[in-house]
Amino acid sequence: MTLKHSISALSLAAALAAAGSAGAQTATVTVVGFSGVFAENYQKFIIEPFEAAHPDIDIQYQQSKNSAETLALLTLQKSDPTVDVALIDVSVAIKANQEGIFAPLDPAEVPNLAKQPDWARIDGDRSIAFSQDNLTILYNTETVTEPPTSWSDLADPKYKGRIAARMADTRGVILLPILNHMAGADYKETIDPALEAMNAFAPNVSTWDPAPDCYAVVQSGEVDLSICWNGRAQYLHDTQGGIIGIAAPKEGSIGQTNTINLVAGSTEAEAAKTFIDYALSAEAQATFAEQSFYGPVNTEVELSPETAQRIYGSPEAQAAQMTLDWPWIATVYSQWIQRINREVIAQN
Amino acid sequence: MSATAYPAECPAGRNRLIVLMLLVPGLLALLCTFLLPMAWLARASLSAGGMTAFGSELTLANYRAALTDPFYWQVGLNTLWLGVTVSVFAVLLGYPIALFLARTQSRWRGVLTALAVAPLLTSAVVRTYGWMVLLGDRGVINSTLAALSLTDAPIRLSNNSLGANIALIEILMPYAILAMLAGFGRLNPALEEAAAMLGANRLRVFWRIILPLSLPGVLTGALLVFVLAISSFVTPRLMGGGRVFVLGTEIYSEATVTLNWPLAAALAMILLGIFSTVIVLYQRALRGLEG
Repeated sequence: MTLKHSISALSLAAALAAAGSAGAQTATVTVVGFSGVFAENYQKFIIEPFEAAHPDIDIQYQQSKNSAETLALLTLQKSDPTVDVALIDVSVAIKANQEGIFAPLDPAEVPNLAKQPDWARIDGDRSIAFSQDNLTILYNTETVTEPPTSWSDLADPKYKGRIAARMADTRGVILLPILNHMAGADYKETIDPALEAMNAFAPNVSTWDPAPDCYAVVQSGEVDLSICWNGRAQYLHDTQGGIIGIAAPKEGSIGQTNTINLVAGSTEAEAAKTFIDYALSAEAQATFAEQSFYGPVNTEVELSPETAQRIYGSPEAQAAQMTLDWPWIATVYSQWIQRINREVIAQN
Repeated sequence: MSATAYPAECPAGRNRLIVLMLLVPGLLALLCTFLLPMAWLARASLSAGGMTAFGSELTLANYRAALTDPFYWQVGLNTLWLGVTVSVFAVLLGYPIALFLARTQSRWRGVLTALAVAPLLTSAVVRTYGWMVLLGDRGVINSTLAALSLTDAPIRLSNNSLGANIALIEILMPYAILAMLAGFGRLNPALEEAAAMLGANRLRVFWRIILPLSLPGVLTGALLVFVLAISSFVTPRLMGGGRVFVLGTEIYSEATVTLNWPLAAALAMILLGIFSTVIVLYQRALRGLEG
């Protein structure tokens, strides 16, 4: 590059910078959320189309290892938040709402709120569910010739010592109502039947805390089956040679619910609301579902049969898909984990 | 302080002032990075259910919850038991190595010492994964046994407390060796020669001379390993398959899964209490040995 070119490049850059500051309306919205594949997909299928449509808003996506870490960050910054929007697990969102970390959204400012089902509008529209990642059974396609079809297949003695099941977290909290439902019981009344069902497959469990995670142990053949999340598994199925198979049980499942939340005290609340409205739109949720196999929440989303199959399983399983009363679950969350630890894991 | 009171008469006081001034940066760093977080942790353990530690009233409810729950007593006992087994085996296995390194005349001594502590250069996480590869159901040991038709089904060597113990013993052994090596400086070959000349056989020399003289080093090694073992978290978590409930894993799960930070803080303070007790007992024992 000659000197002349450098100078013209410099002046061009200066002119651009001046134009930017003259515009001065560019708002930067910081979104903190899940890391890994989720972050990649969210950037590509939600943030980029949004920024293209709103050149005056710049979205900064900040990855967080897990929702607990996000909550720690938001708690520390409570008086002077640098984050505007948080994507976190519903159970953590409800905890955060007890601390007054999120602000309520107004349906007049976020019109897409009206298209969310009632269960998705949590704590007076402070936390809005935007996607659901189903709990499902993964199997190693090389060692398992006949994939399981039901949650009760987990108790089949042929899987002795061949199952990885992290139960002492949201996975267990979601599996309890599923097992309870199969036993014809209501999770708000008792979870004894579910704990009994868990104890029925417990002897088959090799690890209650697979390391590094519930996907890698299936991929490596260390176990045959693993109780895991669907979205990431579908991605790994497509990218890692199809060794991980997904056997969505016919009794249906429940999704780990992700919520979008406006941080109270956000300095870019207007732009943040515009983004939240887009993230809740049928268009954004349909794209995200098609691309990342996270179940949509917006009631206007129509999924293709192929996508529905990959998110929820067979038509039978799709019909049996359940949702939970999350605010109620939040009141028993730690108590359920305690019972799983004490009455199932510590006994096996 | 005294230096400002007696500036002229007391040059020793000025020296002390200089020493104090030199200590200030270190003390400040310690205050910010260690004492303040500890105070915050102590304060958090006295908070009610919420997550913001300050601003709410003080309560002992978290300690009551932890100390009246038989499950946490079991967790506490598991932790102590893990500490005892790991420190006993790390010292037993490390003792001959440390003794050899302390006494060898080989010109390779430096290299051998470096080799003995070389595992410390690798992170405990990496070494734990190494043990997972060796001890897993389809790991090196089990697949070798299966290939030799010695076993029908894999032997459970990992995803339980046996696996956590094996890995921790190996991971903490270098600390035991280093601590013992430092403590073996008191071993004087002349004493052994004297004993031999007076007719003691080698076993007797070991039993009456070497072992008693090396006990302070052994005790230091055992204490170090014990403290590291009861506060360990990564290895019990990765090797335990979720079945090993120790204080470290419970604090982690209260802090990140059930989000009960005050209870996690209370458990951490209880662990700190156990540490302090052990160290006081150790110093008593050491004084007893030397006195």
